[in-house]
Amino acid sequence: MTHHGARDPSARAEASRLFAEMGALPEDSERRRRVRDQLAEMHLPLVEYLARRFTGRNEPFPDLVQVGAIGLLKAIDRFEPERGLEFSTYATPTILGEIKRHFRDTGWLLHVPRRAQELQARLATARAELSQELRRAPTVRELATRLEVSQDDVIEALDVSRAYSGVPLDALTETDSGPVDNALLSELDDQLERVEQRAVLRPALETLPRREREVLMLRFLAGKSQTEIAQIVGVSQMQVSRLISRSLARLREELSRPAAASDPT
Amino acid sequence: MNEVELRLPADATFVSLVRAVTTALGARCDLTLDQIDDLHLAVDEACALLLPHADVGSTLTARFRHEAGRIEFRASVPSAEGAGPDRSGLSWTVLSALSDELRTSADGLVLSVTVVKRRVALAP
Repeated sequence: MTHHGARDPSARAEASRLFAEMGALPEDSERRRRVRDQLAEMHLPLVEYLARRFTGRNEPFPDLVQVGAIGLLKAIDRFEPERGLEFSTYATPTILGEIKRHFRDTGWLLHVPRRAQELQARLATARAELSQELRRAPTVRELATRLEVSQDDVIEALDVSRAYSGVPLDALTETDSGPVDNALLSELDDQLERVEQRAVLRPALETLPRREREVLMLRFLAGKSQTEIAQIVGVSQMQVSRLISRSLARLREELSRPAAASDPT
Repeated sequence: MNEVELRLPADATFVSLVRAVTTALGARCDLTLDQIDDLHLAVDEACALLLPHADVGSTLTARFRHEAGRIEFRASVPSAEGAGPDRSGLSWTVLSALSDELRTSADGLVLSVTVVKRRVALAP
């Protein structure tokens, strides 16, 4: 095994010689700093080896190596050769710890899906185009073919787009002033009067901004698909999707308030 | 027919795990994105409907069965209180709108909601 950099006997001997030398030098000496650099360089393959185990998470490899190298330097500074542990054994948890901390701190959420975020922009376009061409929403397979990526990539990007609003939802609700000119909506208002659950739903629906209410009614009373609603309301299907899940969450919250809770007994 | 079953603490914070699986399985069944979104919402609503009735500290079982052109999601919780899910509320309305088939069962021990989504004909 040579991929860890310091596994072969001569390299190991060299490493322990350097550690001994570094330990004997005063903290602020120039020579000590150079020995430390030498040790770091020598063990960089170990960092690369460990960093490679995290590349599946879409963090650029050089970034991971850089973060891992911080762990390596910490390990070099703290290593006590007299304890008889091999350096790479000692350093591995420290390097891994640093990489994991990086994911945790910088938000796995912010950095990891960078590639997925890039894909997300193309995804939105492809989704709109395919919806036009097919006159229905595309499948993941169709999107993957169009974008020339794997289905897993599409799924990942979809989950990212659900987790983040690329376009803030406010952008959608701000347009409350512009009424949607659609006869269907006024019909729906009438229909809502007749819905069995109106006593429960009406007050809750009233608490939502008008655009959200309209979208919910189109979806659940008129049975329109998200793609159709997007066309009627004039926004993207993704926005409709996010709006619906947000509105439902709000409604659920509203309905679970004691005043609105239905009494089962 | 393929079957995937998840067992999770009957707690709303774990529902996102079911949702993640929903995307992947929906894609595998060639559902359209609209339908996958619908299924997400249905999963949310079905769980929202069941969890208040779940016995304390119990397990939510989420089972997906998929075969050509059809995916069935069943959520169930142990519930000793004997009441069926509330059919007059928002969750039920939403679930009815989202599902091609919607069933619920309560036998005094286990409460479950089953949602079936059928694939649309894909010919453009």
